[in-house]
Amino acid sequence: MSQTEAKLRVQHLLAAARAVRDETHPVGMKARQRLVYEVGLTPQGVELALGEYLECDPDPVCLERLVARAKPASACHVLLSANVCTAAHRAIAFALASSKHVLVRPSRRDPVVAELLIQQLQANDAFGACGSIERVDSIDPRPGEQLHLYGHDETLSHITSSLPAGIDLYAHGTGFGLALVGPAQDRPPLAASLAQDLVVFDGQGCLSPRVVLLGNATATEIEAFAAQLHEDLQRLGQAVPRATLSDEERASLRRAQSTFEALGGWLHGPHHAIGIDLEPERLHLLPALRSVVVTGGGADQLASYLGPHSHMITCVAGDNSPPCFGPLLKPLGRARHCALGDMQKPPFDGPVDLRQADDAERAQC
Amino acid sequence: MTVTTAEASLRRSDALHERVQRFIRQSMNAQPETTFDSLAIEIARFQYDTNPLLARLYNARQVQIHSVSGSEQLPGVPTDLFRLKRVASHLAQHDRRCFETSGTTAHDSQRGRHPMRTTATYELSAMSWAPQWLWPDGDDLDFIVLAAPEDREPQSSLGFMLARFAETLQGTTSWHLSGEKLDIQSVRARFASSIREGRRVLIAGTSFAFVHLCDAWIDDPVSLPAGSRIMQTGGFKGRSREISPDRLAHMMSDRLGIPLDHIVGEYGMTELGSQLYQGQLRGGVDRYHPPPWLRVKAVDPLSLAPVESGQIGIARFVDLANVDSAVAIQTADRIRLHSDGTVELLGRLPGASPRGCSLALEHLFDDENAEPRG
Repeated sequence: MSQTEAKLRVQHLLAAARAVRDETHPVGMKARQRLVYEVGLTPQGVELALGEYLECDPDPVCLERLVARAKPASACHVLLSANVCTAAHRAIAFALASSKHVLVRPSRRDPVVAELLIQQLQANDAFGACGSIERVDSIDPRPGEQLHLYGHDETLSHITSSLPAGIDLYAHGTGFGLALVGPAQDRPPLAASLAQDLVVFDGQGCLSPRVVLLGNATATEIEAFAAQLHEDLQRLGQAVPRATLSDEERASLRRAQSTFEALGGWLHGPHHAIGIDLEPERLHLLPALRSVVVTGGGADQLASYLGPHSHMITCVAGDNSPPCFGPLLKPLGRARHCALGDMQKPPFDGPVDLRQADDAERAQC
Repeated sequence: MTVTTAEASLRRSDALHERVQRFIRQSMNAQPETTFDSLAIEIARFQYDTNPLLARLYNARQVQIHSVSGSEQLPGVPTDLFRLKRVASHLAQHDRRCFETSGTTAHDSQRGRHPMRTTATYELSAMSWAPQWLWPDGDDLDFIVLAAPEDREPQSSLGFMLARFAETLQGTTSWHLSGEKLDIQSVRARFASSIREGRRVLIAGTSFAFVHLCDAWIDDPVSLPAGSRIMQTGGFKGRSREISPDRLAHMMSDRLGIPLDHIVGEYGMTELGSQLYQGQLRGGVDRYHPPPWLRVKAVDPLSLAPVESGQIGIARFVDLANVDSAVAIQTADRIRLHSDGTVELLGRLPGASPRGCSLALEHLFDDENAEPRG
């Protein structure tokens, strides 16, 4: 199989994604309608995700990397998760780069974008000449074939435990994004960028920021940054409201509120929540959408706070040069690194989660 | 905390422990000289003065500690806090014990910890209430413990309590759990000797241990001597398959020959100094009975305000035995509180469905401790 053919298949997918992105195209209109009514996202949240974060025109160099990163397989099976409504696009792209026969099982909770992409490819004769794609209800790979899994760690370990031997497996599990704010930085603009990262996909993605660390920050500085972020999230929340929370999610947030009131503070609005931890010892994430923990401290304190969970960090955003972040960053080599405001726009060069990438691949990127 | 302040705190703590112990003793026989509320508020004021975490929580809730007039006004400290921070009014150097929540070893760093500078109040609380519900008909019982011995797991509050039971009961005690492995052969030998000698037994352990025990007796049910009973506590936490409490009770009854009305549930948490028991052995209902020094409320999970009697809410405890940690505790356990003060346990409040791959980190945000201890 040539890389040219693989790239051609991905390009057909990109064309299909452009239709999804286009709010005037019948496919784009259908996507918007279904994502609101079937998945429960707000119209503004859907528009933001499809209009600005569905990657349809990647840098050619990135596309080359995506194709180069994919390992050829006779067939590639893909199990998709919910959470990020556009995620199916990149996952299918990576599968098409790997194989001319792709079988996709979309998330039951959020099948919309996957189905619309698959339908368009199936109707495209030019695509049919270089590949095939099928929507399936269950995953049944055979030895020698490839399986790309996206989802919770528990789901993935359940699936992988029952797989036959000889499956070429790529599992992308639980993860979250980390934002870093250095001691000497002008913080208000960073808070605004971070707010933008958090609002996209309602903060549900595996790149979404869940923890903000302020290097060498005093309690007053931590509180000031949280207050600024609160203000920015209030403003963005009016423009792009969060999806409606379930009673369980609201109850979880209420419990977290009590915890953070003791740890340092709690700021929330109709569409977001911020927990402040003034003396970080053990990581405690907030349970629901558009929620983030803001904390800070010295190098050793932050490293010890995050250390046991460093393997779950998929993305590190912000200025990581200050020495106070040195010990923290050492074990995070496999995470993507970017500027604040770019957490949800990783280069279209492979899966968003590169924690499984080997060192050779990483060097290439 | 300066040395002088620390010493003053210890003296305050000592005085409160004495008062709580007096309250416990008096409430078992007559009307205590102090009211529950006044003692709870004094403990809360002590904790407010000595623990910045609790002071922050009170301030955030705008609770004026010096004008609180009832224990229901005290904010419940979420059990989560016990695994994130040291919840104690004393320095670590004064710890006599530190009880820890059970959990998978993978998440050791996320275990809840309840430091104790004295175990005397805990012990008095446990040993004043348990006999009422577990051996109201006399303490001449052999004791079969499906838990690790206290010296092997000194961090287990359950192990500590069962060791005190062992000191009180007249019969022989044996321990049959090592790590997470139940020694079926030694239990089999103990059963045989109890049956042979016609000695009634108390078997105590966690739900997961009883599942393993029942599995071992699936083809070979025994009939333990009349008057034998079971104390069952805690959940499963992934250490055995999960079975509904009702079904587990029937399994235990069928396979061990113990009548259903001799199977008593205990509800305790590492974060609490007091326990609740089901009341069947005293001819009462099978709902859970709190001691007079533990007040239970069912509260709304969103507003945290008490719900009407008989309605479902999540359990909030005010536990006078928690002198040095947090007197008011908020759990995520669903309960129904009846007008007679008894409690129905309805399982854990379902957590938010993980809606994102970044939200699947249950052990980082979910309240593992909300499950009764195991």
